[in-house]
Amino acid sequence: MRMDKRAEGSFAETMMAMMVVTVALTVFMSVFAYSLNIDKEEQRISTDFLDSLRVEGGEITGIDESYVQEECVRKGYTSMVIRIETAGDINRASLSLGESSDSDFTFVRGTTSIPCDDGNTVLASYEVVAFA
Amino acid sequence: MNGKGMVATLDAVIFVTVLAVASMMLFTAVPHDGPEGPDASGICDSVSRITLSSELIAEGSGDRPMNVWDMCAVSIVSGDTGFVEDYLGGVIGDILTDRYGYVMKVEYRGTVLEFGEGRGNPVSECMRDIDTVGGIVSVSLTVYG
Repeated sequence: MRMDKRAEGSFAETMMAMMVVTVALTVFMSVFAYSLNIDKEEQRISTDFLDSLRVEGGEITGIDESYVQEECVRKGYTSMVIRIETAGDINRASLSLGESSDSDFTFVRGTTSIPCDDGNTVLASYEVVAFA
Repeated sequence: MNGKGMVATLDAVIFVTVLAVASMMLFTAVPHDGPEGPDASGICDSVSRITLSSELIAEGSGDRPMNVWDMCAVSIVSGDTGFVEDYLGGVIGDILTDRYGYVMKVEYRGTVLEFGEGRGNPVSECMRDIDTVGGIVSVSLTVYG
C-alpha cells in the first residue's frame, strides 16, 4: 500500500487507520474502567469486626480503640470513627470509637445483629467513617 | 461528494459510533453509587434475626429464646400484641430515624397487626412469608420518605 504524491491513502489504508484508532481507544477505555474499579475496591471499608460484637453488661464489646488505630495504619486513614447503637428498648447499648477529622471521608452504614449475654439477639445500626 | 469524501465521512461516522459504544461500556462497567435510602427488604431480613426471651410475652414460659416472628404469631393468637408492636416499632423507628416513615403489617391466621406511620411517598417496599413454628406469618414493610 503506497500513498500517492499528495500523501492521500487508499480506502484500505483509511480503514486500517480507523481500526488502529478503534483498538487503541477500546484498550484505553478498558484500562481506565479497570483502574477505576480497582480504586473502588481499595476504598471499601472493612466491617469484619461486626462478627465479634456482643452486648455484655449493657455495653457493646468485641472491639476497642486498638482496632481503630490498627485499621488506620493498615489502610492509611488519618482517622476513623465507628458508631454502633442497638435498636429497640431491650439490651440498649451504644459505642463510639475514634475521632473525626476535617479531611475527606468515605463511610459505610448498615444494620447487624448482636448476641447478648442474656441470650437475646438484638439489632444494631452501625456507621464506619474513614478519613483520608 | 467524491469517493474520498465518502470514505472520510464513513471513517468519522464509525469513529463516533465506536466512541459512543466505548463510553457506554465504560459507564456501565464503573459501579455508580445509587441514591442512598433505606431498603425495606434489608430491614425485614435484619429484623428476622432478632431473638428475644419468651418471658417477654408470656411469663413463666421458661425464658426460652424465641424468634421475633414467632413472638408476633403467639401475641396475635393471645390477643396481647402490645409488646411486639412497641418493640418492633421502636426497632424500625431507630433504624429509619425520624427522616423516614413506615408502615409494617404482620398477618397471622387472618389477623393483621399494623403499626407505624406512613408519610410522604413510598420509597421502598417488601413482602415476606415467614415460616414460624405455628405456620406462615406474612410480613409487609413500606418505607416512606
